[in-house]
Amino acid sequence: MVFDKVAQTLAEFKGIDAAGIAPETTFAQFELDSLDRVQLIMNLEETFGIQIDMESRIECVRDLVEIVEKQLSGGAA
Amino acid sequence: MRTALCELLDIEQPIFQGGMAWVADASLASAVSNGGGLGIIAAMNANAEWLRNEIRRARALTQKPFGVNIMLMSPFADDVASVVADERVAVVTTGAGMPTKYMRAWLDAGVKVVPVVPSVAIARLVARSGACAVIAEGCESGGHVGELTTMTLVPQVCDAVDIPVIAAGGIADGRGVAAAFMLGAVGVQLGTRFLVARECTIHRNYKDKILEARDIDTATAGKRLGHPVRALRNAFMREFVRREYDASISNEELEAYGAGALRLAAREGDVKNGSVMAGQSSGLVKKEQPAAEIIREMMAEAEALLKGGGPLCG
Repeated sequence: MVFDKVAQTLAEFKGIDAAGIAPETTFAQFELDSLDRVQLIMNLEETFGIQIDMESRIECVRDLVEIVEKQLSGGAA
Repeated sequence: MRTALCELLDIEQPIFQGGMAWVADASLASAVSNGGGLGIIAAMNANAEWLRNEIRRARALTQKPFGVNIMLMSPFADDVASVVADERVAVVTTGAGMPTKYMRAWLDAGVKVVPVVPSVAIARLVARSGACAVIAEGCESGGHVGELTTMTLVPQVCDAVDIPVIAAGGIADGRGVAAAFMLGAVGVQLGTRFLVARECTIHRNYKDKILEARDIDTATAGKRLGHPVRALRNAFMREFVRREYDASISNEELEAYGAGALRLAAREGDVKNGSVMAGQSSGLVKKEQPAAEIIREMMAEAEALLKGGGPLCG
């Protein structure tokens, strides 16, 4: 399931428990600076073998999951 | 000395002059380009009209290629990004953000894009978005800084991308240039040394502060705001740091205290109450010289060092 894998990547990146991450968890809650944000997106790209448009609107975990699912199904992010 | 960067950008020496706000105008940029390097006009927080005028002024002063630096946090970033494309400036460098939204327009206009990158991930991202080179800038530099040093950032970026890498941060003489090349860079960007170029139009007091500076005279402040800045320690810096550690002062108030401080020092010469942004290499900068002489001297020194490296290996 995409959400689980996204949550796991996020959890590893932040060194937190994946169980605490929900679809509605906002990016602001992760306290990522601009460098972290790009690094995290690159990590997700490697995990899923996709490319994510950096200009995508990503406010919560659900947004990220939708982008990944769209990419995996062959659509543009 | 010619490297892959010279071929790529049609310049004689692989030296960029940093896009320093309130410093890097048409006068300095054209002098550096005439000296064989790549002069760069800083669009800073200026509007489209100011930038267009500076570009035209530079074109009247040099036939050589020059660049424009876009500070992506500028309220006029969209407008000045369009001017770069309209005017078909040879090279655009970017800082303080991700330039991805402007890449298509710049590439379509034939503008070569060279972003300043503070990390490997950002270098990889801009490389795949069409950047023709990257500037890996370490935290020894003046102005806005990241966390990594030039010594650690440059080789890691070189390993991560297959486009030319320009090293920046802490380089002020031929030794720095030679060291940067050993780390894998094929070009260097200098800010602080060009602050004291004769053609640099900043206030005399600012130049004197750089010339008098010692190794320990810079510090960073503003980490609380998410974008720390390196500058010479003075009354302004001390007060800024005091406020930064005062929890009763909001981020907005702290931002407001810093606003206009660089202009005050660079243009009006108030080097006590203004921000004298400069890199750790200030202590290496000893005399005011024409930009062309700085370039010539530095590259000759680097070349001699690189040729003489053999004896170290016995």
